[in-house]
Amino acid sequence: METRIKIADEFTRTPGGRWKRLGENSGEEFYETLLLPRFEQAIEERGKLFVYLDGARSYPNSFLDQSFGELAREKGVNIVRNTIVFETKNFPWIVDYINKEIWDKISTKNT
Amino acid sequence: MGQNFYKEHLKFWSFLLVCSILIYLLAFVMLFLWDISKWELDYKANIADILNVFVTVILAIIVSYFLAKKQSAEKFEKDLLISDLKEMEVKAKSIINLYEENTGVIYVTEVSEALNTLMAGMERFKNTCILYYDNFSYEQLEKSSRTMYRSMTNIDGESVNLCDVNLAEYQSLCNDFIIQTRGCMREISRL
Repeated sequence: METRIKIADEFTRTPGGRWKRLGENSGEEFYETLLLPRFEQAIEERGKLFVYLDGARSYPNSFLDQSFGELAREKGVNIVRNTIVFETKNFPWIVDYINKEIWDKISTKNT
Repeated sequence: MGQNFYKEHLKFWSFLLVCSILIYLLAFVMLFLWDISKWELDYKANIADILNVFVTVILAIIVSYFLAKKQSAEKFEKDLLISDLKEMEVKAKSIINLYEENTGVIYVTEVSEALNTLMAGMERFKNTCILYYDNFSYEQLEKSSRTMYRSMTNIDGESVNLCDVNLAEYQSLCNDFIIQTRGCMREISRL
């Protein structure tokens, strides 16, 4: 079965800031409750993790960095890039941003 | 923009004027050299001459029609891109107004939604450029929009106190973005 996360349905339509102690719907909360467990499940099943971005109103940088960035820092950029598949019609620029501004920079830092 | 714009126009028209004078002088000298008094004019027109004039006129009309059509299509494409850029400039100013007009706190969702609209506009501009002007360079504008997004939506909690916001930095980022949009408008109008 396909491992997936529909952010708007399963988490929130209004993603918040970085830390959970400073407010609701944070990137840290999303990482701990949904992203990391589903990512590990996808790895175990040797499949892909489909992340659906549409439905949310917008995504702040702090949210993206503390979730998708943190995952890449913890697990490695390559494995994360090869496992996660973004699905979106409304946020193609977010996918581009995560790839180029978050994952590429982590990858450069590590080399 | 103004001074350079007028300078370039002045240069162009001066060049055109000098060229016209030179061509006129050259024609004048050549007519004298060939001694035009010895020329004979044939006032009889034959069918070949009439056909020649007819074909030339038709060709001139067709060529000018297609040139005018092409030019108006290019103008339409340029106007589309420029209106996208103007829209982004207005949006960038409205984002700064969010900070200037609010008192107390500003919510991450509020800033994020405003920046989302700007980034969506950037995406539309980028895709239109790819469609119409494949070699147009929008990288600096894109970089500037991303810097603005990264800096303004890098908020730790669900809201931020306005006294903790570095408004001068945001204004500078916004100004940089606006300068880039204006640079792009200039480049597009020159294409």
